[in-house]
Amino acid sequence: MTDDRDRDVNLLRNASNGNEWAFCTLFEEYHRAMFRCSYRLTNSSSAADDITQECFLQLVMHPERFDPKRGSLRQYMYGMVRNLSRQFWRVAGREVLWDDVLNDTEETSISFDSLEQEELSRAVQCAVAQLPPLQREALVLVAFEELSLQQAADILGTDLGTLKSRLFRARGALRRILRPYGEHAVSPGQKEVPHESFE
Amino acid sequence: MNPLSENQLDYLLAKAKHDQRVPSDELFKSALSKYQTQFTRRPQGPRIAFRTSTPAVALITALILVVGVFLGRVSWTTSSHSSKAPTLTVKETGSCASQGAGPVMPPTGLGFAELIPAKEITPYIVRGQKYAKQ
Repeated sequence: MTDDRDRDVNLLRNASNGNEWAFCTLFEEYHRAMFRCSYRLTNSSSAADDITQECFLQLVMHPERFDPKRGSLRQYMYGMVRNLSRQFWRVAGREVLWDDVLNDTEETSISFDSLEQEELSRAVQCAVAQLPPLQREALVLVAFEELSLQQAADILGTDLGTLKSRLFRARGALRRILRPYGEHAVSPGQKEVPHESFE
Repeated sequence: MNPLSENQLDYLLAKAKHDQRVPSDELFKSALSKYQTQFTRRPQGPRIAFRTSTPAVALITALILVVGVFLGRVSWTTSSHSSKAPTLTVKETGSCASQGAGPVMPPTGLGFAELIPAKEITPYIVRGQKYAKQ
């Protein structure tokens, strides 16, 4: 772990000094994860492209802001993506109720007559996009990026209790939004999927 | 219609997790291009700028020297109390006084001459003495 951090620090230092190889190495290692995360947060591929690019440029422009003692480079970059995604929402001029209780979406616009894998994924993504941003951030980091609760709490700058509360509300909202998909949500012979209670 | 169970939700989330979008092909090219613009090509910038502005730098330097000499000639004649001329050692041989130019206010605030070390300004002062003698 420490070796990885040292390596990342060296790569970052070299990249910020104009070493193109170091920049490409960092980009290759982290850009997919950052793109995925920003796409989940913004629900827009083009915005995710922009955010990912901006994330790397800011990273090499201000390498001194990364403190390896506080966490890994990956965590730090997730935090950058999160902030850039918030900027995206502000610039887009959308009215955001950051942590408001989601309305009961009885009538969802998602259609799923013949659900294929891609459509199902799209439906879930649409449902995630409907979550309030604070809940969405928590869900994306924990459920999709598979970070630990503590890591996600560090990135979001909150405590564990608040994070768990947001996750609980996010999952509750998703269960309501996705209820039309209930019949598709159990595969034949599906095992019981263990899940973590966030209450 | 009842909400999904926790297991059903986990199943859907797991399904969605496998569907991972990939960034566009242009993303890497675009990021690398911007990186090169801001970083790898940056060291060349000052060198190019310096080359193109070399004549301007030379002109400004010469102008500063000329103005410094000029101010030096004025100051050494007019203000005997002008203690701010440590480098102008030929103060008492000024030309303006000998030519009856009358009192002239000492330069204030410009201080170009003071910025120039005595060694560097000496040739000009010597030349100034010649003019004064004439």
